[in-house]
Amino acid sequence: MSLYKLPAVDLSVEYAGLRFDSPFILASAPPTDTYEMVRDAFRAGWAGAVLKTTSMEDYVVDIAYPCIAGVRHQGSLFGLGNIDNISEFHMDKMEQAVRLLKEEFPEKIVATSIWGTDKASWQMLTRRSIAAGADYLEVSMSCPTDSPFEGTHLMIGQVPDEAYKIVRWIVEAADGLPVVPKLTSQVTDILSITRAVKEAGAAALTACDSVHGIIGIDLETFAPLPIIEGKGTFAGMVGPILKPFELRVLATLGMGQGLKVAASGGATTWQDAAEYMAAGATLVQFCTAVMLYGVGIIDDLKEGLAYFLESKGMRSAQELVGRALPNIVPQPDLNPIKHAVAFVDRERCTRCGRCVISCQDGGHRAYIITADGYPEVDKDKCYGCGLCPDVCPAQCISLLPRQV
Amino acid sequence: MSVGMTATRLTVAERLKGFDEVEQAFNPTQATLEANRCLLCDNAPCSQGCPAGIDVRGFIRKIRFGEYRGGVRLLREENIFAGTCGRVCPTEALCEQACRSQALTDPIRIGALQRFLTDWEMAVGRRPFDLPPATLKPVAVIGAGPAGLSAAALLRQLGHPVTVFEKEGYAGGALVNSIPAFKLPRAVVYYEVGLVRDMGVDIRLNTPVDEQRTPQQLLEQGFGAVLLAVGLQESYSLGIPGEELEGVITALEVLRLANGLTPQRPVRIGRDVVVIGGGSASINAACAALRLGAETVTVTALGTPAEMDAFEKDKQQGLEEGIQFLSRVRPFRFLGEGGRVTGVELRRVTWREPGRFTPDNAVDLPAPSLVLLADTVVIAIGQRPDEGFRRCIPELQAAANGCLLVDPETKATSLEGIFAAGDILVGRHTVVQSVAEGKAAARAIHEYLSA
Repeated sequence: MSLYKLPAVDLSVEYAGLRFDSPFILASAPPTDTYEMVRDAFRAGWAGAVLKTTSMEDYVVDIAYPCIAGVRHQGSLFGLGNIDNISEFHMDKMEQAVRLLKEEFPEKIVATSIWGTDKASWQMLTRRSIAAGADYLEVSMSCPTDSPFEGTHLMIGQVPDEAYKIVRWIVEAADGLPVVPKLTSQVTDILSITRAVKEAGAAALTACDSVHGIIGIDLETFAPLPIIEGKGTFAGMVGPILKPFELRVLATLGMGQGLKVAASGGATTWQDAAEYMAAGATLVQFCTAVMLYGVGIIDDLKEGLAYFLESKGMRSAQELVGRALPNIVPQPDLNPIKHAVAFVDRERCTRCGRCVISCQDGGHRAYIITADGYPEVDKDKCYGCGLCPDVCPAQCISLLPRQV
Repeated sequence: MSVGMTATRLTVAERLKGFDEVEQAFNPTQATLEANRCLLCDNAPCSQGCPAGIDVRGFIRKIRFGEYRGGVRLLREENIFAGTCGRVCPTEALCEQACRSQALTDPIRIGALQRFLTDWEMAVGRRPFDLPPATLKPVAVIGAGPAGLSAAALLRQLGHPVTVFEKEGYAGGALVNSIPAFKLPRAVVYYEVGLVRDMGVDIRLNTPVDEQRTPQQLLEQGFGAVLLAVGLQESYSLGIPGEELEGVITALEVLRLANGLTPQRPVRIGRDVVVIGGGSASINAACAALRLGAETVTVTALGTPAEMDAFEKDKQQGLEEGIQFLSRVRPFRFLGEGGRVTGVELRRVTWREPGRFTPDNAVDLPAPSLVLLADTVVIAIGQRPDEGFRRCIPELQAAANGCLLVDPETKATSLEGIFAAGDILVGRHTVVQSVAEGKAAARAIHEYLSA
């Protein structure tokens, strides 16, 4: 029972030929490692889940623990890194999870995520996904923690021919089941990868997997985080740090290829998700936000998006997809003039002078300090570069249109 | 670790110019920073600390995640007076006392965050209600204070048509006549009363329930149940010589005057004011007297400021504004000249048993009495039920002071179909307790009428 009338908007979206009751699903990650976790997420209201990447029973999955460490900037957590691997549970366990979930939640979308070592295992995992009743299948071909030191030191998702080959094998065995490759952002030309997987028969895309990084170096022991017997390794980076890079990938995919995209990486709030959708994503996958705050955040996501769509006069989530794309243009297409000038609201100014420091040492030396200690902008020197409004701790500086 | 956000407060000079609200709302940056400090605990103890049952963690997470609409919804679904309670709740003894953030620094400013959301809703406008049709049995509520209107709102949400009978010419009860605007702006109360009215609750002003129109008659007229939420309308007197002198008035009269309500008799605030009593009403009346022109205001009480009943934030405000506290005294008689009060004579007291700060534990000391000169003396030692109301329904089980005895769960009185909630029940009440009792009674009435 809601006291207030909820917006009359349709949150459902269509992706890979499937209908999702909202654009919010769980990414293939720790929150989807067991039937029980996904069941609780579905009860909370998530539209679907990609189960954690699984493998054939004879594939050995070794994970060193601890496998997670956080990235902090001036005290607040803005990313996680993990050095784990695909699921320690093999296909038999995941088949069982798919069956139980589809039986209990036939309207929710359940996908498997698979990792094979050769043609036979990729195709066997595909057939077993179909038999278990999965709605679609994600190809784990860009996981940074599974492959960096093997063979070419590259992920499958970084090599168009490899990506084509694997996806083709899977599509051949898929018998019409939608096949969705999971991309990596760490490529020179992501469209060369999407061309390859599209040609191989991909039904849609997931973009992206976690980003290859090193979480941090412990300055006592000179080991990377997390430390295991004095050593550490490269990690998959996730969480809010990824958002700008994720937006870049989505915009690139949105402008250059025809497949629908599930965004993955960096979304915490409904605003993040709405930005991803405006940049071209049809679905938004979540992992870190759920690991930090629990599956209950789905309420905030759905309600927030619904109110937003209504405020924009949109009747469905589908209308939001790609709305920002026409406005994202190459830098040379922007009109190269000084549009704005900084304005300081004296009412709220604390006279800290951070704007003066930044403009002096990183801008155009346009600030002067008045006799009473307030910063004042010399309009002739100010380029309206945009630095000082973000530096200002009191948020009292705005950019006003320049009077011509 | 970050320390809690402090909302801007008016300077004392700014405050004393009128009745503007002392504490200002968080701006969005302050609200976000404060919400970000919230630990978003599992099994959040703050929610268990809220008598009204607000999902505190839920609404703070909504602020943190930029979802204000849903945050307001969570607040209003549990407490239609969320904006009022965000201001007047003794949060330091409820949700904020339970807050686990104290283990790191200090509690999250839950009341201020709640108020931030409700102020935001007042500024941008609320969404339309989604209510079931009012097709169930009608209910009568007597008294349009926080208990009565909270019950009315929930009953209406459950599908009952509700009629509220209010004897005064305004709705809001104690929120309007007993809480000064510098703590709770009138606009907030009227907005929240308006929410109840907008739900389709019929609030009839200037409509007393008395010997001409009794609760039993309302039942006979077709109301399925009656909720008594009449509050405490009369002030206790001291029963000491000189109480009849002109210039001896009650806290309720001062607060009515401060709130612009028509007084029942002419009341004037003089230059030197003495307030008798140690509760929040006493300090509210003292701070109101300062704004009504008093030059000196002295609060006298049996207890020291630390021993007084008043909420901490009220005592703090009194001290900031220059209220003087005279402790461990009791009024003995009023002094007068030509029928007007000129002062009050006080006896020194101490506590018979240490640590128990109740009037029956105070004993006079063998010391000379002292005299405070005053042209206005305000009696603020509590309120009691209206005797006229009790006469129209004498069969109800009540305590010696006239307050009603009810089933603690269902709030059912000793009479079939008649329930009661709020200040009229035995025990001390805060606004949020009245809200909680109103809701409990509404649920019980709904069950009673569905049986």
